[in-house]
Amino acid sequence: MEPFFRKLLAMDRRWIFLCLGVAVIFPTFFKLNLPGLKASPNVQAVYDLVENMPEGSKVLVSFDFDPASKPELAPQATAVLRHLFRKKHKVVAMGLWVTGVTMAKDIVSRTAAEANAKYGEDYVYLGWKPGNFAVIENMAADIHNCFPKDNDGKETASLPMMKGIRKLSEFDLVVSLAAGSPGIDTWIAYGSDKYHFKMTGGTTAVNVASMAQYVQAGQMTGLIGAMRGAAEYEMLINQKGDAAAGMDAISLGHYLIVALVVLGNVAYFVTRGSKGGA
Amino acid sequence: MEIVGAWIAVGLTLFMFSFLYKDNPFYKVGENLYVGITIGYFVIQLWYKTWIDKVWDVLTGQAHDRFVILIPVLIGALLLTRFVPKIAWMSRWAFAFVIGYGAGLAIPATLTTSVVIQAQATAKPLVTMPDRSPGAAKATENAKAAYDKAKEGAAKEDEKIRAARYRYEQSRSVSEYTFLTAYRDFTTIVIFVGVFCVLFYFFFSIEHRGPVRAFSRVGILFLMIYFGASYGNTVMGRLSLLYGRVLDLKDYSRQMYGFATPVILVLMIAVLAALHVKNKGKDEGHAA
Amino acid sequence: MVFLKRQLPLLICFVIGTVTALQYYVPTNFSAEMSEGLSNWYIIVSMFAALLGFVSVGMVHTKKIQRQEPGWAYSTLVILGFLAMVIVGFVSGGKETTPDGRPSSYGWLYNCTLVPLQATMFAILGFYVASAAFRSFRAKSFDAGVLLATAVIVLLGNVPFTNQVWAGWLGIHDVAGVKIEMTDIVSWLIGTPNAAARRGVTFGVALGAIATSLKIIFGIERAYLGGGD
Repeated sequence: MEPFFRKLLAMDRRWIFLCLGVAVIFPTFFKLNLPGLKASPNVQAVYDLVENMPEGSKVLVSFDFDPASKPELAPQATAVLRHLFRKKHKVVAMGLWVTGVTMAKDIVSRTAAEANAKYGEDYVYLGWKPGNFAVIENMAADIHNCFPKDNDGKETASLPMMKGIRKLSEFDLVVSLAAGSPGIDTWIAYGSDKYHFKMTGGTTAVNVASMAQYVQAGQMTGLIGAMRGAAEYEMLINQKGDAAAGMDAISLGHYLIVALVVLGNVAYFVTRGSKGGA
Repeated sequence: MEIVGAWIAVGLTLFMFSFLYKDNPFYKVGENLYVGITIGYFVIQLWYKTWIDKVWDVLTGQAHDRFVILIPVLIGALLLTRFVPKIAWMSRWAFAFVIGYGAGLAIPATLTTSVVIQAQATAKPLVTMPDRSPGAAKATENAKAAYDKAKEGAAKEDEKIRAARYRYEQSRSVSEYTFLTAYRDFTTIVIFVGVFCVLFYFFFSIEHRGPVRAFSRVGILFLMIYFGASYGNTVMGRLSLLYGRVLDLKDYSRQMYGFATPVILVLMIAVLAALHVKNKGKDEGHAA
Repeated sequence: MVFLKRQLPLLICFVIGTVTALQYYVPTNFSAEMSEGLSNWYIIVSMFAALLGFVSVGMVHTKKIQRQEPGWAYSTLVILGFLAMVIVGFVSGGKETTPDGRPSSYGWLYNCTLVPLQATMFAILGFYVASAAFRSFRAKSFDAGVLLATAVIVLLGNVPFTNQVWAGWLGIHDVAGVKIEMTDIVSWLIGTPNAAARRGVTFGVALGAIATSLKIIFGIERAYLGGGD
């Protein structure tokens, strides 16, 4: 066995690349529809929060990500916005990541069109401003001053919905969909902990472990984690989307990586101590 | 335009993926284009969303104090003196403003968010006392009745009955000290011990010997769990991103996009193969 | 001159830093107005800070082209990409869509260049994570074993199908009301021991950040002034 494992350990890593490629591509073409998806407590908490707010609540959705995290966070954003529009909440969207501006606009417009939401009355897209935490500070004082115009150059003050929204603290909920910093941690530190508004959000898988402390401390309610979290949210709102469709590919990829970890360790222990071992 | 866009998108995606084979001219083209395009996009956003919105419109407006906006413009412009060695020192005033504002804002925000509130969430009572009030007892009674009703006539426990049982166990864990209450207390204790021991691990002012070493060792185990969880989640993140690209490539392989993906893929493989043949002998291989 | 070059920046930093920090603890109308003004100024200054970076990148690549250094042809792509985006950006008036809702040339270029380039750059990492799983992820010690075990539990628990086997087929749901389905186990791992460890790290980072901020405000830390007189 030992020579086999030694050979295995020395193989070109491009074989592993190929295996992973196949594991991800195969279910994209041939649906497996693996069962077992269940809402985790954190995703359920976000859903319950949106579900139980009175109709017409003012919600700020901050797109704090860019195309690099699109497959994880765009389905989250789509599912949350669908839910918000379905519950007839008033949505103000914006972003702290410059390269996400166009992508965010597309997601907001698409979900709003699905729900027949009217621009300026049911939702507004303010776009982006530089300055990260300073934007939050500025919005806490006066949103109209921070964003004198919306993303398309219309006067913010002229939009009917924005006449009733002046400061951050007037929002019933702030949702940050974040791929890193500036994101959830920035909104909590410079926003919700200081100006006292309800906070929730979603993040990439990489950041879930870092954001858990804020959920545990009650600084935010619930957390949608990664593509799986998005799939869970899609399941809760009964409208499957890109995340649910992608779970097969993600699942096979995961099993392959677990197999690689096990195989790598078996090979390590078999060849350990011998000449040329790992 | 849609077809042209699809071909460009597929081409650039495959250019970037070609790095998996090895560093090659396709990847370098994609990499450098990315830098230029991103800066160009950023500049346009800055021009329209900041310069026009927040400076130009104010200056050309009617407000009596509109010229005050020239102060931050001046501060910002001082940053650019970096490029003129003789007066580069003037940029320090602007840096002082930026750094001072950031530091001033960070102190109270970090203290509140990352120290005070986090400490409060750690220092919770480690043992929960049962709520002996009639209200709590009544809530448990109601939950029990609902659970009994749910399982009436059912042969085996399904999702609905299980949910009713969970609600009953939840209520009971408040009015009595149950296994669920003990579990919650255990969770609180784990958090407390974890934070305490991790802090010990990072405390380098005393030598890690005796009890300090024991605490520090436990701290390391907690950190290992953190790293392990982070790795597990990172895998999910990276696979999701990969799936996203595969999905787009699949989409663009349709006839309506002129079979962009398969055509470009074949062309690229042909070019890379030609390059490989040409450079054969010079290559040292692409070992791990 | 020394005052203007060294002492004035320290004074500006001290005044702005102190005023900003105090505003948090003295939330009067005046301090709120000041906070609004300063944050607005910061946003505008940030624009110039970004420009500073872009001009630097531009100068590096222009020099490379002028001197025809190795790889200079790639640098022309940086300039070309930049010019293409800026030109279509101005032509579209900075708008991502046309009035009829279709992508403008600026939006179009964004969708077919920036999105695939950026997304693929990070998607490639998936392959390296897989390679690392096989080559580097070893239980060489007890600590590494704990790390590995946690990672494997999270990896398996993140797959819905594992939960189907665990709860749906094996019927493992709870122990006296404590939920132990795979989803719950992963949630507990992330929400409890992981959160505790992360909080320990957060305390350290936060205290370090506060100490550094204080040193900056009081002029003890002066690295931002750079070298020279």
